[in-house]
Amino acid sequence: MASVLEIKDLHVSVEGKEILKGVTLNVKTGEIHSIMGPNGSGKSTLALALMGHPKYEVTQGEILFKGQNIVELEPNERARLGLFLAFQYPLEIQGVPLGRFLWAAKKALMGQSQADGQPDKKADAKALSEFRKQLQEKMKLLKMDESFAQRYLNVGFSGGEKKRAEIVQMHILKPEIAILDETDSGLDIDSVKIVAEAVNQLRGPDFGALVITHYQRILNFLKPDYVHVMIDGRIVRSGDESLVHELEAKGYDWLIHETKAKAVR
Amino acid sequence: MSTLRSFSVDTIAEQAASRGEPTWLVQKRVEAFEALQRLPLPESRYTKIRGLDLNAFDFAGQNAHHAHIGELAAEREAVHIQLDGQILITQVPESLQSKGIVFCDMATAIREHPDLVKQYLFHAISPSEDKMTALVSALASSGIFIYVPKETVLTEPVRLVYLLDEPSVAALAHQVIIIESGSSVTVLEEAYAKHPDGPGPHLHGTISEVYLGEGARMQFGALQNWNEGTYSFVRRRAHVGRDAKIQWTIGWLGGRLTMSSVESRLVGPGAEMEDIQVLFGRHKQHFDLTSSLRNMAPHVKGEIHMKGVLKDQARAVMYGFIRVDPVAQQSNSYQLAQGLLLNDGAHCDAIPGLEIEANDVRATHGASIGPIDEEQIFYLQSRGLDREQAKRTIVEGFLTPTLEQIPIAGVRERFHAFVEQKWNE
Ligand SMILES: Nc1ncnc2c1ncn2[C@@H]1O[C@H](COP(=O)(O)OP(=O)(O)O)[C@@H](O)[C@H]1O
Ligand SMILES: [Mg+2]
Repeated sequence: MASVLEIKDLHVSVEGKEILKGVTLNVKTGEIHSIMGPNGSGKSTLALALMGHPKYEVTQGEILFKGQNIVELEPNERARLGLFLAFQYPLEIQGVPLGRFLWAAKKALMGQSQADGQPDKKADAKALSEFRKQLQEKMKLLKMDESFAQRYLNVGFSGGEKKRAEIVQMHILKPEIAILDETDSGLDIDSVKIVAEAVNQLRGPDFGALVITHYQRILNFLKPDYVHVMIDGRIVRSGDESLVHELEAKGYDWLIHETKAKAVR
Repeated sequence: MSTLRSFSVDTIAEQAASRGEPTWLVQKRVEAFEALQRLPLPESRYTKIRGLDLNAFDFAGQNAHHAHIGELAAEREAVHIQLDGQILITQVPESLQSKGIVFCDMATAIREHPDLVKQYLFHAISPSEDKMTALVSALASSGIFIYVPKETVLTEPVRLVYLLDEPSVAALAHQVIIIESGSSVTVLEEAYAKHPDGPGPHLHGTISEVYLGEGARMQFGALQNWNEGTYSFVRRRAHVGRDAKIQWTIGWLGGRLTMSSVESRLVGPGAEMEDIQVLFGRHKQHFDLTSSLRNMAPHVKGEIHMKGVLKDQARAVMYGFIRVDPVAQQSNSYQLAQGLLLNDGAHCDAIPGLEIEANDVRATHGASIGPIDEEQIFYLQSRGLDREQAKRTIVEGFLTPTLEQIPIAGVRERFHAFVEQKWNE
């Protein structure tokens, strides 16, 4: 059965200011959704609220994942349920090597801390060596040098390297639903292709994604099943891939006008 | 029990003489004792000394020798162990003795190496510099004297171990370390509470005088993990000769109040220093840490890194002073202080001081102090770590680049282990 992320009439405020004004959207495993929209329309707010950022307060509505209301859950609890966010602006963490961190995250997600009583050293060592191999493969897939595993998390990475590292992390942590917040921004076309291919590789009945983007070029590679347009904290239009081309041709202005006209009425 | 009140100038002089100390040293003791009575506690804007009554401590144990306890000392190492101010053991392997290395307690040094002692004892540090230095100078008859002759390389670290156990016992120590030209030594000081949760108060004072000859090298590593009822005062000063290099690496974990001053005087051209100090404070601990770099010759080079993690209501002030004398042209100095605050009650100040009297020099400093970043916590949590794990990961990461610079593996690893332990308690 597919896992569903159900967003129902979601209102989100930041520092007392309402940014999302009633968003309703369902994302199922097996589907790729895309959200497009002008700058400042609330796309990142949606992504961060879904992941449980403490500054983004849900004032109305619900977020259900696999039938469970997750609004009160900590970000790590959401991650354990199978949610993942590739950050628009990945954080730099001094002194924490990427590889070691990912291993800790993976163990946390697998719930190793309460693993059946005694830790099995042999099994642990085996899991670790498998992890290392897997990490190497994933770095190769994203065309990142192996040495990045030893480097401190995102510290001194270029913008593009940070974004590709996010996708490496996604591949290692294997979420059911991934939210990609402008992962393609700031990437050259080759990198966009690399990232899109990596996302496509995960595609299948057990993986769904909500791809937030500003540009159509990544969507040309991803071929999303659904496309939504967000303006001023609302989804104002949903459709299939053809909406991307319509937006490409006409821009957002006509939708903005339409939204305003509606609001006046 | 003999409290501070039971001493007078006369008894100080009498006792020193009866220990066979030469007249000049008796004079120093008297000078120190007078200063002790005259000087105020070393408080500052950032450090108030609360609850310390110097008259509540027993200074009697200063001279006694304790029975040998073997389990703390490995057989073939040079090691000096003091418990509550009393010397448990001062041992040096024959192989080092035969190279002319002196490693003995101060009383023995005064007896057997009077000329060396006269040349160096109270040369870098004056007995009346401040109240606590005066206290140690007047009353510390136990201590360690290390002399390494020319062109001698010690491959194994020399260990100095200080233990505190009985409450209300004052433990004072004087260290004199002389590394002659071309020689190289690692000194590792460990200062621990015998019972980490034992009752206080304890009073501890150390003064440490270090002399490096031409091209000499010393790595000085120290770890302090007193219990949280201990008042601890440390003053170290090194004279670093031509092309010599001193590396200080100090990890601070324990104590109720810790005041420390480390000063490196780069007296010879091309001399170098590096001072890495890392602290982890919790509960109501207070740390007042100073690192001073004085460039007194051309082409010298110095770096100060101070890093603090503070939890609960812990407080720290980190002073980094750089002074460049007019002669110290083409010198290079750098100072960095960083503080990470884990919660609202914790506090940290970084006070830089730059005094530059030469024109062709580089001297830079930086400081950053702030709370743990919620955005970073969220990022790590979004990948599956719980909040506590995320904070820990950030703290470890904060310390890691500095710990990795510590040249002595034992200090690095044990500091890590202590932080782990403190975190889990
Ligand atoms: N952390 C924040 N603090 C204050 N305002 C914020 C914060 N995050 C977003 N906003 C505001 O919310 C609105 C939507 O921003 P955002 O969700 O980042 O848009 P998008 O990702 O679509 O460009 C903007 O007006 C922005 O200024
Ligand atoms: Mg955004």
